[in-house]
Amino acid sequence: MLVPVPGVGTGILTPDKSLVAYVDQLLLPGRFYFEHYNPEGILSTFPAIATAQLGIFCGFILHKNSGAYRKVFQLSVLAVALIMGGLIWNLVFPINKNIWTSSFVLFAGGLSVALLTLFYLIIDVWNLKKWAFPFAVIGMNSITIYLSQPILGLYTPHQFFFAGISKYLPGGLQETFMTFTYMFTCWVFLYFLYRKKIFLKV
Amino acid sequence: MQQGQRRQQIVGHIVKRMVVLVLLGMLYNGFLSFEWPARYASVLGRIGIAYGLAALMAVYWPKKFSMLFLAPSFSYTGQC
Repeated sequence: MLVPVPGVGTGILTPDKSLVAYVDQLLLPGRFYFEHYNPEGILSTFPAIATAQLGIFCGFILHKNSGAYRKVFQLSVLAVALIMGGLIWNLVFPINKNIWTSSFVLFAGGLSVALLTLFYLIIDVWNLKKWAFPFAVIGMNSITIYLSQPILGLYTPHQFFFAGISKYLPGGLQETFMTFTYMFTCWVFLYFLYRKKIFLKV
Repeated sequence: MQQGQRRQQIVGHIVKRMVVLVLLGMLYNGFLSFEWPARYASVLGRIGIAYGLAALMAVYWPKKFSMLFLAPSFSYTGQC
């Protein structure tokens, strides 16, 4: 907020006049996702590295030779500190995912660490694994399902199976029904890959 | 010596993963339609580059030192 944007000045956070937009227009060739900038543009890559580092930091904690509950405690402290820090910093620099503000790094990172801690506690420490199977099917092939949307067009089989039924549902429920059945369609595809042990690794 | 080789392997893997993710992201954006201008920035590219640079720092720098990068990336606050 302190670096002046040529022709604009400092502290402007609108989509067309922020420093993020300025740097993208200056340095990034090609077409943008939004009119003036990219949500995955150049400048916002730097705080995104910090987000990735938070994950690595959690890895350091989990890799240590200390007791499981000690790790849970340390991760919980980290999560609370990040969430609080994000909320406080939000007062100065607003949480904004599209330009990946540092308050967003703290807050979203804190929520993620909190969830990681919860799942570590339930799945690894308490050893309650079975319920997580549907999620493991998705997580083992997360990039596959992301790329399958434009490439394979799973909406076609989804429409084929579920568009008919949805007509008999009350208006307000149709969208919800179609959303959940679409997720189900994708999941069945992923389950097939899981059974065949086909995983996309990069 | 052996540790140096192992590190080289890890770094190779990180760089390969970065490149593959950036390319997959461009594929997702419809790069193969060959319509210009193309959109180079992508979600997978963001994941690849942010992961890769964070991972390289973790590999090359001592544990505590690599966390220091958090500070410069927060100086971004002063940027937008």
